[in-house]
Amino acid sequence: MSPILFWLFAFVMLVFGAAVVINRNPIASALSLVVCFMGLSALFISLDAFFIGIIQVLVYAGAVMVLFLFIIMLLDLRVEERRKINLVAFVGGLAVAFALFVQICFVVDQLGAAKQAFPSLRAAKMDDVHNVGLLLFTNYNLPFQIIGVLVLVATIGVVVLSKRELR
Amino acid sequence: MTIGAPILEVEVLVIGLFVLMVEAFFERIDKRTLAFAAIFGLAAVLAASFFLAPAPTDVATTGFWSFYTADLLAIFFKRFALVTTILVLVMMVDYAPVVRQSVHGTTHQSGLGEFFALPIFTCVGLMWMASAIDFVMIFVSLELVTMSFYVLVSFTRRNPATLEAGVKYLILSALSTGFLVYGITWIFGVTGETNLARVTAVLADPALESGPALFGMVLVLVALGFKIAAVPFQMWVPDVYQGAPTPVTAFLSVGSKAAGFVVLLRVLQPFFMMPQMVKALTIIALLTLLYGNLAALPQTNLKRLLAYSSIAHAGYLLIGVVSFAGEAVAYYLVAYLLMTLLSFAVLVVVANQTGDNIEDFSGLAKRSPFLAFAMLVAMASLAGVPFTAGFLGKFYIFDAALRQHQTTLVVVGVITVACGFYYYLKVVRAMYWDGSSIDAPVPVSRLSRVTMTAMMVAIVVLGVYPQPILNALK
Amino acid sequence: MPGEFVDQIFVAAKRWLLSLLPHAPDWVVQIASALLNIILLLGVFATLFALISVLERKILGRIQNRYGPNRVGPFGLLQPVADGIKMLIKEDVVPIRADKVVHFLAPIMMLLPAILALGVIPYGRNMTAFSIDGGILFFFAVGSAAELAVFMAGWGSNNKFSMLGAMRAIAQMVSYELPLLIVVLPVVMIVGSLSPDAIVAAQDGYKWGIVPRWFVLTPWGAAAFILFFVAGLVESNRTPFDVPEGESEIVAGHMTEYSGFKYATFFMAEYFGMFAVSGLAVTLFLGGWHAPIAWLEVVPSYLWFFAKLAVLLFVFIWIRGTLPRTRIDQVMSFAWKFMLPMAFTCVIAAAVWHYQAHGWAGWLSSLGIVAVVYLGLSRLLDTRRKFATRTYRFAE
Repeated sequence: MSPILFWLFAFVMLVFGAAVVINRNPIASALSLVVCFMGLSALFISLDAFFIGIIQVLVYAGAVMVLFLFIIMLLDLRVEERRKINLVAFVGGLAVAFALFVQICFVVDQLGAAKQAFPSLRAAKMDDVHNVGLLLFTNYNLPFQIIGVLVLVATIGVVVLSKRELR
Repeated sequence: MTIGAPILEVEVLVIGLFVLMVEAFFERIDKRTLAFAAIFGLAAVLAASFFLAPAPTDVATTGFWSFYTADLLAIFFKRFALVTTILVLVMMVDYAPVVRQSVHGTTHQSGLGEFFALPIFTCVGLMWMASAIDFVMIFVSLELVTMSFYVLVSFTRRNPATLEAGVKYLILSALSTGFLVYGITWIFGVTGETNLARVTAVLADPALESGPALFGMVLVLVALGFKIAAVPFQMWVPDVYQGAPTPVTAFLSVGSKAAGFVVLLRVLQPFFMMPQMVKALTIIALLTLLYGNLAALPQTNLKRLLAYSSIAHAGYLLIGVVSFAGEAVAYYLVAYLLMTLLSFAVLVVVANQTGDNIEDFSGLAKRSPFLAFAMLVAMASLAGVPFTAGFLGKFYIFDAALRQHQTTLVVVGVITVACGFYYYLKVVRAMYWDGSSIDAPVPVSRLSRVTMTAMMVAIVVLGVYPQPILNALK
Repeated sequence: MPGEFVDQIFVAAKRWLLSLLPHAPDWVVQIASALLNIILLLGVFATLFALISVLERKILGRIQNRYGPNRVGPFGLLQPVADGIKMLIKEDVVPIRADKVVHFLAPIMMLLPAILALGVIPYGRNMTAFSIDGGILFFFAVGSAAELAVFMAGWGSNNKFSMLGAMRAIAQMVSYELPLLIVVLPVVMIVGSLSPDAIVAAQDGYKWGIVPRWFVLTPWGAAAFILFFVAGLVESNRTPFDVPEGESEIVAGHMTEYSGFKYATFFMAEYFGMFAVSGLAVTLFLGGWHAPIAWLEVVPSYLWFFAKLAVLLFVFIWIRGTLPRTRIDQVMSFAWKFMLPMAFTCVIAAAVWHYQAHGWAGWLSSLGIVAVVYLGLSRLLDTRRKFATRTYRFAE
């Protein structure tokens, strides 16, 4: 992939990721998050991982964000906008984020694999949809089935918690 | 006649689906029948777990058996999960009137069906977690457990305290899940494997820099710290335990914690050769012991007191983990299951009449000598009075720690045990010495009376004859 | 062969144009090729949009017993030009309390995905603008961005009608996206690929030399096609599912606060969305650019595609002229109680058809499955409410 594209999308992601945190208006935050996801998906696509890139848009930018916005839409936003910045929390948050950043830099520095170029996925010439499906239904079948149960439980939970009157 | 271990989960799943379907399509039945059916079914599965066909011992490289193991530890904790769920369901039957008041519904038994069905799915998740030997499997089964707890914790949503508990639990659990996944990605990134055995093999290679993997492991530890309520990841515990419906609190404090420890035991195996890991765990254990026991001292609400006590017990269990004493941890967890569930069972019944503050227990010895005695046994065992399971549990843990020369841990442990005596006996004092304004007897259903008696007997018997539990892991 | 030359005339023209850059580096050629595709795509569909907008009004006029636009140009064909000029010179009003950036971006965000989605559809032999493996997924991925645009429009306007309209629109788009996605599954399953080109290729050929192998001619395919079409109606907010912009209730829904060119952009996005959904329906079920009869294959492939597209668009307009608007609760319960189970039935029916070697037995049993579920569902959903004939007291 072209390094220019990588830096471009990484920059977009960073800017909008920061905007998610900095914005006082939750809607603006949520929309920035969408752009951030789009940048991530572009990164995946430029790594030749089309399937993951598209799914990223479909699931996160599409489905999850719409639900997210729906919830924000039904809340009272003025409360959030009026809130004062707590200086201690602000400085503390910055310190924690910075500590994590330093830590990750330190760790990545140790990681041998991070210093050499990764072989291109395109060289393998693979049909990623096909491969993902195959793995999911053969090797990873058990976790996949468990996720089925998980979704069932989540469905029951949504009905139980959101229905106005249970029967 | 024998069955394969994976069938157990399938059976429990079928029971859960059966309860759900009956609940959905037969509106006229008494919903409590569902709970009895579920208890009966789970008991049958528990019985079936003693007729297991031996599972393949060598670890497969792909497919089902590379995610799932049926070793002794797994089978032991599967039974543990089943017993916990059965006892919680018994408690839930007693708790039904409260659910009725705190759920919006059209009939007088609205929502009860789901209330009885969800713990069964949690149980499946716990059982899968006990067998998980792959990070992917650990993640999905942990999520199944957490997801069902999200719903259970906020089930009685007309009560604002419950709602608060639900939101807190949701947010902090989601955060801890984030840590878990991020940690797993790091470990996968370094080793290229998710299967624990193969991660161990890769990490054993001295050429590999261990820093990144250790970083990933620390993140996983943070997530598990949330699950087992170890300091400094304990801040959600008191509010959530107090706000959640009482049977759910019991389930959370036993089931969720035990599952966390099983995963901890399994996940730590590849990393125990690193001295940093032991050091970090020792510090966490120390903090947990001190915080749990000291913060429990001034509590006046019994549910909150039990919450802090559960943090304290996590500390004792962590001593066992640091001392590589799997059997001591398992024994302690069984003892913990019995005494915690017993005290919650009494709490549910008493709270139906008065409330869940300690002063609501005043004069319980006069109102219901049986309940007061059950609570006395539970508290004595929690505090660690000799001839109870709680005492032997602590004894094994300290013994193991001494063998590993963890003197600091043992000293602090013994001091905090003394501290524990004070607050547990506070409850006993209220029941036996303080007078009460009410003297109407507390009604106890026959089912809970039988269950409580069984638990009391088990506490005392295991306190003098621990062999069955210790042998189960050999 | 002259037939093939006409068929491939656009492909050849593009190759010739690119050969004008003989020594350019690879990436310049790639970008030039992409730009050519985009320009052609935009040109064709903008023209089609102009044409359809006037045709729609004329057809609606005919349905309602009037002439429709017939003043500007021959047969009123220059009407879109007049409309365009009018829209461009209109004052653009932005509410003072609106979120300016979001309000401005919404129409653009609405049009963008529709255009992107058009890119993956094969318009003729070798005529796919962006031929990627996961084309179908790409289509739905960018399609889901339309919901965000609706949300931005509704929220950014700071108007209660916009907000209500946006909520309705998103609710119904999210609900119908499920059946829309699931009815595509059987096709993808049978073809074994997510690439639109492969799907069209799989519908090549004729059974016994006469019956085309289009998926719409199998029982599951017919059911899936109808479901897809209905869900497509909803996704493009067309009558009878145009509840979000029902002028009798909430002015114009999320578009209430838009005027001038921004409003026109929304209008254009709606039509582009309609083209995209119809185009995908043609690709998935109606054999793409294949001819219906073997000896008609001499007609260029792209003409077949656009002929089929035109038929579908006509049905869109026909439905608009015929059916009254539904209520929002009816729309929603229809999605969850009828569309979704039927969509899953299509998947099962397709699997049965596939594993009986696409033969008679499979044809009949999949028909049986679809029919049984359809009848069962209609029986279950029947409210048994009888409507009395409406009596007019003050009119004839």
